[in-house]
Amino acid sequence: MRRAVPVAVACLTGLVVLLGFFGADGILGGWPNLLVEGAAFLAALALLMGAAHLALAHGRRALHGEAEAGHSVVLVIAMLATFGIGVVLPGSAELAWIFDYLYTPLQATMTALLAFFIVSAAYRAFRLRHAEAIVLLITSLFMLLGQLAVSERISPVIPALRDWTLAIPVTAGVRGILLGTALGTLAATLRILIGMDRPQALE
Amino acid sequence: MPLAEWGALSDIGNLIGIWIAGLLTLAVLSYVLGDNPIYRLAQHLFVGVAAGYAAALAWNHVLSPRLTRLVQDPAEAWPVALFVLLGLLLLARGLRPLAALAGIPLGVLVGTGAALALGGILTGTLVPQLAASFVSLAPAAYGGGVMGWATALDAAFLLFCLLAVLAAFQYHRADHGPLRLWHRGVQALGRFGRLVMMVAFGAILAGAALTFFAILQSRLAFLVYDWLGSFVELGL
Amino acid sequence: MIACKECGHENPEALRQCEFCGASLTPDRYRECPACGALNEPDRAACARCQTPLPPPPPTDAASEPAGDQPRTPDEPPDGTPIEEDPLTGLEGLLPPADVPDPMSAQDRAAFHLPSDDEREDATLLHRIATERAPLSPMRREGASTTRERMPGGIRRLLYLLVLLAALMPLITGRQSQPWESPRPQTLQLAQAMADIAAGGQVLVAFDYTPGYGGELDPLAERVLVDLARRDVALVAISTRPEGVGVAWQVLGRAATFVPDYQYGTNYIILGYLPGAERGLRMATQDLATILPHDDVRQMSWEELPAMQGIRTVDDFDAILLLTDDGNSARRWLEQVDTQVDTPTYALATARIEPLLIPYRQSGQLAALVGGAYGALEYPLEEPPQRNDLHSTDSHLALWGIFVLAAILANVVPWRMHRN
Repeated sequence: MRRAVPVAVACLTGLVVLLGFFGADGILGGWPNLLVEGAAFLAALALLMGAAHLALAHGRRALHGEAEAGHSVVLVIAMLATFGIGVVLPGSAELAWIFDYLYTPLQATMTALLAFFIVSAAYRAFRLRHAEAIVLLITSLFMLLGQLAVSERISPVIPALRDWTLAIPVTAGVRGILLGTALGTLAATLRILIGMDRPQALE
Repeated sequence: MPLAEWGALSDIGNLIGIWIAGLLTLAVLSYVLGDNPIYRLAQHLFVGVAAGYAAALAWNHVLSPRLTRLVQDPAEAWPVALFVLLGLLLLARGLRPLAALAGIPLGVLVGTGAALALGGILTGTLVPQLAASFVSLAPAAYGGGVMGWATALDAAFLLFCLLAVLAAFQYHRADHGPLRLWHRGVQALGRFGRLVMMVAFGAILAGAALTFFAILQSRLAFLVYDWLGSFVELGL
Repeated sequence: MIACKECGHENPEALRQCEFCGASLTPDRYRECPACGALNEPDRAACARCQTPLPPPPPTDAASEPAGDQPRTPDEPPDGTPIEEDPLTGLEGLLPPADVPDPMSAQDRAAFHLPSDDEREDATLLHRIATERAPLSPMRREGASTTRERMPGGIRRLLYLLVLLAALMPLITGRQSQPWESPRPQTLQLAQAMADIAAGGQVLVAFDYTPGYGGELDPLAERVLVDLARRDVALVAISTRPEGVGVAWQVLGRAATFVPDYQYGTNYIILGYLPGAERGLRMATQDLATILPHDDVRQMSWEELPAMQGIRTVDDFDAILLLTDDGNSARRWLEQVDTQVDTPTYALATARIEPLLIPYRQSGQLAALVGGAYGALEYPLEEPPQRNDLHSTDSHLALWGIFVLAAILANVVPWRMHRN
């Protein structure tokens, strides 16, 4: 019983929403939209709960004086301060200050580090061990050149070949991966909707 | 408010902000030289700010307006009461006697997510992507002439490459039985498909390099023009 | 997290080898099938894929421990795992091995071709480059990819220094290549489509990127938004990520300062955060006012915001401008929104995910697709807003040179120097 209820709820809500998706709202009244709005509400609540859990875990670490307790204190204070200002002063200059001068530089610089690391990744990928590596090397060097805003001045052949590469092999390669992923998702979601599967979230 | 004057010091708050942001940028960049406590501190600060910001937005845009509506007009906003009830059940996950009930809101989340993903992937990816692959291969359909032939050849080659990529996901190999030749053919096609995928990965690698490089440049521009610029403006 | 038995390093659960020292992690959590290599739950007696009996599990010391001590945001995945939005993430949970029937005979099993180590390594590396979001600790990931081979330290330092110099190049050369730049057709096509939106029109701007990718996307977004604002098009910003709202404040707020009399509330609005991924997008196509009843900046209802007049759902806008750094988020927009409305979608994407969206442009689902790295240099705009930035083709050429050098060094440096 305990295991059957969530699966039954998932099947039922899923079928109602699916019918709504394919335009059967008329028969079902406002139920599909209501369920979707409710789920969006729950997703936002889950986000809040996740933040609370993070604060608790780090608060505990700080209180028990575990390794990096000082860092945990910083994390908890930063989180509570940002949350407090965000809730008490929504849309305020203070919240924008935090976003502009703490959030943005930290996240942007962490992403910027990847500019160095991708060179390491390319170095490894460019070792010509097999045919695929040769193709990868030639394509990535060519595409990097082809993406330059001056490529047409270097040779008009470069942009033409770049566009063809994007239109045919790149489209085919990515589309193949997309279709494979789509089929996998289709199978997985269908199994949930007909109750064949119990996603881990329902355990 | 948004940065009204990029780099210009409109007030002391912005000046302090630029200095802090500059120091944080250096703290994170120090990771290139190796892991260090300053980087770890910046990392924890970021996680705290990010989680607090996300939680505040979730409260402001989703939870608060609905709860206000419920308090102001319970009769009209009855569905919200239902959401709140489901939310309370979600919170009950940690309480042993009520833990089973937490499965109901999770069921709603999983059910709606699966249904929308199924409908979306079918109508938004599978059908249109397949439809775009199986197009006419007749040169006449593209106006004939050299261009018509070239377009038709491109369409045929695109379809061939797509089938090759799909064949590359086939790892099953039969070296015996009546389907042996068929499997060998699929395998050979799959080898070509791997090359096609490598072309796609090459394009992605080039794009990723450009992206991360542009972001590094924007951080360095911040350090040079705004952070160091603030020293110049102060006459230091 | 799984703690490595050899070095104690804590690894994400998806890994089979310790990302720090390369020791195997599998006995702690999963058991590898001796016949086909599939990973099995510890309590299984036979392999889920090929039904080969499994050896008895080794004694474990409860090496895994719950996550929580690793700092991360609730919507940020732990390091090393595929991104949360990846449709394949969690598939092992959705399709438990127990339910998979045995489709293979013993002969088939023998003929089952498994990818080689090299193939696996390449696939892992490329998958990460293609799909991962900016990590919290990039070095660990790089460490994960160097379990078998290492890049000699001297070469690493040289290449990193060159990257730094290339990024700073405009300070030295002063953008020598600027007169040689010519925009590509797709950038001009986007500019033409923006020009075709009539004055007084309304455009929905989806800020679906984090400030982490602002360095690339902000300049292009700003040009396009200034272009629209100058022609008196109303702009309404939303995001399916909380941080996208902050980005909207930065970019749309700044763009508005370049256009006289372009007022908040009358001409542009930052509406806010759409929760629940697919669910929020679905609601946006049904009833946007219900899901986002007030704006983010002034907390005003729709009746008080002139820019929202006549809008009820996404369908009522003249265009959707999708600014994105994430292929899955873009896919969700196309699947949940574009299939339901007639409004055309124009995507401005990071160069990293641009190739992933090309099939959607080819199929016509995206009306235009432009990458940020080159788009900002190419998008035609008279009197563009001034920015203090370093983006230039000179630097891109230098970066290309570094990649050529890396390719040469990778194959010239003796093989033994790469071994750990």
